[in-house]
Amino acid sequence: MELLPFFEWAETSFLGYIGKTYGGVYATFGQSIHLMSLAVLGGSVLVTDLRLLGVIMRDVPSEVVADQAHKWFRIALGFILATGIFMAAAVAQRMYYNDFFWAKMSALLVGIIFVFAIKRPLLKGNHADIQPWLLKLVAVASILIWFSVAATGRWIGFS
Amino acid sequence: MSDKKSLTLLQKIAAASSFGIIVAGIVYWSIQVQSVMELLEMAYG
Repeated sequence: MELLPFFEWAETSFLGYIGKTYGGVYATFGQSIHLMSLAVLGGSVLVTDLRLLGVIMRDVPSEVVADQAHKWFRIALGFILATGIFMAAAVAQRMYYNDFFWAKMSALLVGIIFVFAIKRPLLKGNHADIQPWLLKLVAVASILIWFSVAATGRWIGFS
Repeated sequence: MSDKKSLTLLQKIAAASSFGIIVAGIVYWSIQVQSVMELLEMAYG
């Protein structure tokens, strides 16, 4: 499927026009909220995964940490997707030809599927019923995938 | 003890997908680091 026409359309769409024309809107509603949301998402991921690894908050049950952090994860993900679409629309054609944009999108897709189809259903139950090595394996994979989303995202700006 | 329990289907999928993500991540970032090192060598010798 050829995606270039979609990216060309996105750049000429209303969102693309606003982002291109008004730098202040792009910087405030786009970049700043995107980065703050990324910080919240990264924080929720790290809190959950470092707790699963037994590094932090050992006095709090991991079920409680995972439940609380997941609520913030969902909120942050919503803001990230909304502001990300807005920002990408303004420079859609440049993004289309950027390898790191596609690397980030791939990592993001894998991350979202991993969280909602595997990690969350797994962590919903009693963690005592899950073998400790599996909890740690899931935590390491989760940190790696969201690190990849963040790192490839930053790399877009330098490529 | 949970150690003696066999894995549920979800746990098996979680283990396999986590392992796959870790392997893919290591391979991807190794290639990226190697690529950057080659670029730096070409630029600065």
